[in-house]
Amino acid sequence: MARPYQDRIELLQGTLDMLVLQTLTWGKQHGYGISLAIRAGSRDLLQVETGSLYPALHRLEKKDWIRSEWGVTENNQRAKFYSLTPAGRKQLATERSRWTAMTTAIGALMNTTEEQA
Amino acid sequence: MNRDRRDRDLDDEIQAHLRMAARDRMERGESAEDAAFSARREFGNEALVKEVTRQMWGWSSIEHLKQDATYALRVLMRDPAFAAVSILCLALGIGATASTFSIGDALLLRPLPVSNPSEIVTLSQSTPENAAVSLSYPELLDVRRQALPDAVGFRLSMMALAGSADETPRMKMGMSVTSEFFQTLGVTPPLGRAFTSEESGVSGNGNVILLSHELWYSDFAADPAIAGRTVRLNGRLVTVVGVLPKQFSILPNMRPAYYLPYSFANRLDDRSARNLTVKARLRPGATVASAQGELAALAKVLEQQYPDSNRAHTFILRNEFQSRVQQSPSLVIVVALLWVLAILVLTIASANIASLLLSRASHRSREMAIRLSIGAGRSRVFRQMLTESMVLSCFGAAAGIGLALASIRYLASIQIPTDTPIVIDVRLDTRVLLFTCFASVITAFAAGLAPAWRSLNITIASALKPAGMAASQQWSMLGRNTLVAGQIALSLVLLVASVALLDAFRRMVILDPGIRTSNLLMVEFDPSTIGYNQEQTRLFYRELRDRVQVLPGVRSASLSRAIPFRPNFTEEAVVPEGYQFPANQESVTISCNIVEHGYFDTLGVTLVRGEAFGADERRAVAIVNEEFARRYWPSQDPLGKRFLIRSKSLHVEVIGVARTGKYLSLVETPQPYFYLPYTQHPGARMTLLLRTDGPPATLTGGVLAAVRSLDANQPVFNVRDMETYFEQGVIGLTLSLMRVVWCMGAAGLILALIGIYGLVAYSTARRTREIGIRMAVGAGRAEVLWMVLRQGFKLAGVGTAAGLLLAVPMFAALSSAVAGVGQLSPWSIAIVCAGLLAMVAAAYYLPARRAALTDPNLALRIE
Repeated sequence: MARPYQDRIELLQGTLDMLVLQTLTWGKQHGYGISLAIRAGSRDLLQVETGSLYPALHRLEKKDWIRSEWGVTENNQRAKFYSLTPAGRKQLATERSRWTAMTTAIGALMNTTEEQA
Repeated sequence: MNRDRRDRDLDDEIQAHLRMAARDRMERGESAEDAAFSARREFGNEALVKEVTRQMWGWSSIEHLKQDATYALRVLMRDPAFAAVSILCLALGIGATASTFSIGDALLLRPLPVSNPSEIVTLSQSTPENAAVSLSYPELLDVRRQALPDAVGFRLSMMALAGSADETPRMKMGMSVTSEFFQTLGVTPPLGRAFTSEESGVSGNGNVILLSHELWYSDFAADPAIAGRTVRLNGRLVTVVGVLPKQFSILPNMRPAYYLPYSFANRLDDRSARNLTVKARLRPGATVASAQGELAALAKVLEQQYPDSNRAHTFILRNEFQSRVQQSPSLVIVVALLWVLAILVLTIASANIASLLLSRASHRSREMAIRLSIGAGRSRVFRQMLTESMVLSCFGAAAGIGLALASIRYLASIQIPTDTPIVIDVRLDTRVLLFTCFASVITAFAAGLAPAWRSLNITIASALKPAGMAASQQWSMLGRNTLVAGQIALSLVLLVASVALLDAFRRMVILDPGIRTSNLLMVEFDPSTIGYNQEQTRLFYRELRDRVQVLPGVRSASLSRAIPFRPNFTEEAVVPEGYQFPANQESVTISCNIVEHGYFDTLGVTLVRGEAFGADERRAVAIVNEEFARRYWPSQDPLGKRFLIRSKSLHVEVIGVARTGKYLSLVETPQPYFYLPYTQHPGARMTLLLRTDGPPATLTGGVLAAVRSLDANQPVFNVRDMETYFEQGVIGLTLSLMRVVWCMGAAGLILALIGIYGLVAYSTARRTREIGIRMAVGAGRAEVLWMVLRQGFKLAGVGTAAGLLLAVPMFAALSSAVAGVGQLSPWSIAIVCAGLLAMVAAAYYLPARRAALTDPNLALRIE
């Protein structure tokens, strides 16, 4: 309650991290591709701000959950590709279970409230 | 991977993203420019993204520092006037501090130029009447046997040195050393070798000499084949065995020209000839305490074995610093004073910088606000400001070191033309440099803290508003005003200190030396150097005086053993009759002189009671000075009293009392002194004193002719007139000191003026709008001028009052520390205050005038 603004950022950060890791389970991808994938995968509901994406990618790389290497796209363009590390895979599992737990809890709360109302 | 590479990498990555996004758009049908533009727009603020991403990498503090420093440099270059003034202030402050530190370093702190100097201790004896008594050679042997096997002794001696037989010998001060002197100290002559134990041992043997590097260079043309050459010392042939390292000396303020074995000119068996200063190297494992214990035991043994000479004598060990302080406590005081002055100057400089930085901080409050608003943390901005003042300090320190180098070179070049080779080896070595860096860092923090602190409290809203007197700015005005008032106060203290010291020195300089200094010629002789025995010497001197006395232009002539203001190594232990000695003390040691009957007349020493010696004095008599009589026969008639001279086992009767004069230094407290007649105590080395009618130099030819007529081979030393000798040698050092104090005071004043001027210029510039309004509604130029000046005078008044309050206790401390600093004369204070106020007014004048000349239209338009 004391720092709502920062809590919000954390939530979003954590969520974005999870989405990025999830996207990378389907193979290595570059930043642009990741943003497209998230948009497509969520049926255009989630639009990732590039302003958050690149910081997130570099932060994840710093934590050794993903790694990067320069490569070439299908169109022969140079781009930086990211891929999951084993540690990243483990982190994804952790995040996923946490997310599930949280949504279950929130869902339970919402339902009870509705019932009471 | 370093930062630059990562930056470029990130840039490539983002460009790749933009290209791909644009490509996709083009595939959907947009034109190339539209696609690129939309892709960019969709991406967002590229710079911001990069900035935030970079933060993910984490900063190392070095990268922070580099960034801050580069930015600080850019900021400084934007405002070269400010940079120049600040660097000048810092240079003055740091330069002053570095110079005075190097003096103190040379005199007090620098370790001996030997190996492992921390192991060297100084050994002396102490009696109830004298805290530091030297040792005799037999005593040194005892110490070596029982307590300190690595103890060596030395004494200074003045001898006549000639490069070859036909060269006129010159008096040079050298040092006699005991065996293993150089080996114990760990000093190896770069040319030749040190003395061997045989050469240092048996009395009379050891006709060998070691030259100092400086003597070898100046008098022997740095002859590389010097080893093996013979020279004449006091007429005796000695062989040069080597040359010592450059600038070597075991004393902090003197450099002997040559070294001899102690056995060359000293008896090795006289237990009471206490003329050796002893230094010893502690063996590894031995501590001062353990050595002290063994020495205490030895002292007891000696006391029993030799009750006459060793009663109540104990041994004392001191380390190098302690022994230097003990040798000349007045030196410590002078050094401490200089340091205090320098620190004052540095403080004023820092206050200046702080004030200037604060002024600029106000200017830059908008810039700060913008930085804060785009997300820089306050601690970041704080660090940035501190870094700026550090960068400034670095430049200031560099300039200050340059200034210090110049002043050190100047100080080192001051030749004090006394007979004793006083050399204060002022150097800019590692210690001084380290100290300078330390001082700069402290200054940076002191100066930079205020504006940095202020930056923490900037509220963005108020800073971005147009200029006006917001509450925060009023506080900063108060801060700056305090700084200026503080500077004025400190400058006042500095000025009072300088004036007091200068006044004291000036009074020293015109102090009555107690002798005539004008129209006096001095010529020194030492017939023993060409082999005269005692009878021949006596004859020579008598003939000489007779011949010289009748030269035209000579009023009177006299022989004297000692010259005033030169250490003459003549002290006697005396026992005045009827004097109650304190416990354990049996005699007093008093300096004396051996003079002919015409001495008092020639030198202008007044006899207040009794009579001078007769021309052929046969009585066992002496003449004492007033201080002698006062101390040992208070309120008694000294005429007719007797005292015993122990070394000669002679009782003498007092037949006259001379006025107390100055004997060794102009600033000495009154010393007891007595005179013995030459006829009964003849010596070899004497000085002929001539009182002349006209300029003394005109008599030189006549004197030399008289000498040549007696013996063409007789060497003549140090022909000079008392006036020059006195002015250069005695006063010279004081004048140099005065110059240093003068410079400090001036430096402090300049700094304060710069500070005041800067502050006033800034504050009047800020009030331009207010001034414009006032003038628009009818204020005249004079009114505006007065308005600005009034604020200045208020500040100056506060500062002066504060300064006076500070100056009083400071002056009390000063007068108790330095002899000769008299009472705080109200005149000098008034002059200092008036001078300061006048200068402050001058500093205010220019900005005030500019303010009064503002065009109201322009002023009102300025935002």
